[in-house]
Amino acid sequence: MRYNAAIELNILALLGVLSLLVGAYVIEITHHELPCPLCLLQRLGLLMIAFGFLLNLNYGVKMEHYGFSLLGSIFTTAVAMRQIVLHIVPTCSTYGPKFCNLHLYTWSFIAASLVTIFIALELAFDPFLERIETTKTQWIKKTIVIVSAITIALTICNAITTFLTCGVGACPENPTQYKYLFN
Amino acid sequence: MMTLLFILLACAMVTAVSGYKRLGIAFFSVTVLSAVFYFFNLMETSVGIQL
Repeated sequence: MRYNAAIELNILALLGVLSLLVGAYVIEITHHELPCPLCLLQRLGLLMIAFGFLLNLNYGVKMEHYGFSLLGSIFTTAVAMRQIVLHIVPTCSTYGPKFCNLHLYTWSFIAASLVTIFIALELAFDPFLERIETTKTQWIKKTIVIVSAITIALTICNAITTFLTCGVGACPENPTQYKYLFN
Repeated sequence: MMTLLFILLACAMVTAVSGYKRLGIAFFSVTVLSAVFYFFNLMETSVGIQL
């Protein structure tokens, strides 16, 4: 497979999405703040975005792959917007800690919107990006393997921690401790 | 339910990266549909919609 600038941009975009998920884990562990059902759905949406980029890296850049990422970004935007709207109701308090004066669900909304814009620009400039070929083929091959492994590992980690929080049934609205770790 | 969604997405990723792209896309489609249904179900049952 020939590698070009579009592949490099996809690696960066995937790393950006993964850094958000790692950040969510860091806050979960350091602040002892377990994710609510809507927070988990936003994580799932971010992983859906990652799926499209993963296909781009492993099968070459195609419009259909961007379509999968776009589905994920629209889903994440909808869920994050729902949570923002839920918490601006005067009687309903906010959920979770703030980062740079914004709550995590607001950051999730911003990130998903940025991904949508990124995909639109990628599709618009795809013919131009495909002409810029890269010479760092070996480096990109290794990076793709590592990034793919990290993405799958993070998805499995999310499945495990979600099971520990919710079990196989419905998730609690305001979880305070893992369901299966301490009981 | 939520655990199942993450497991389905993990299956989608593993199968797609292993070379079974169509199977991966099938898993992904099921994940998206289930997640959308779960989201709407959550909207109906959570506090915000009843205010």
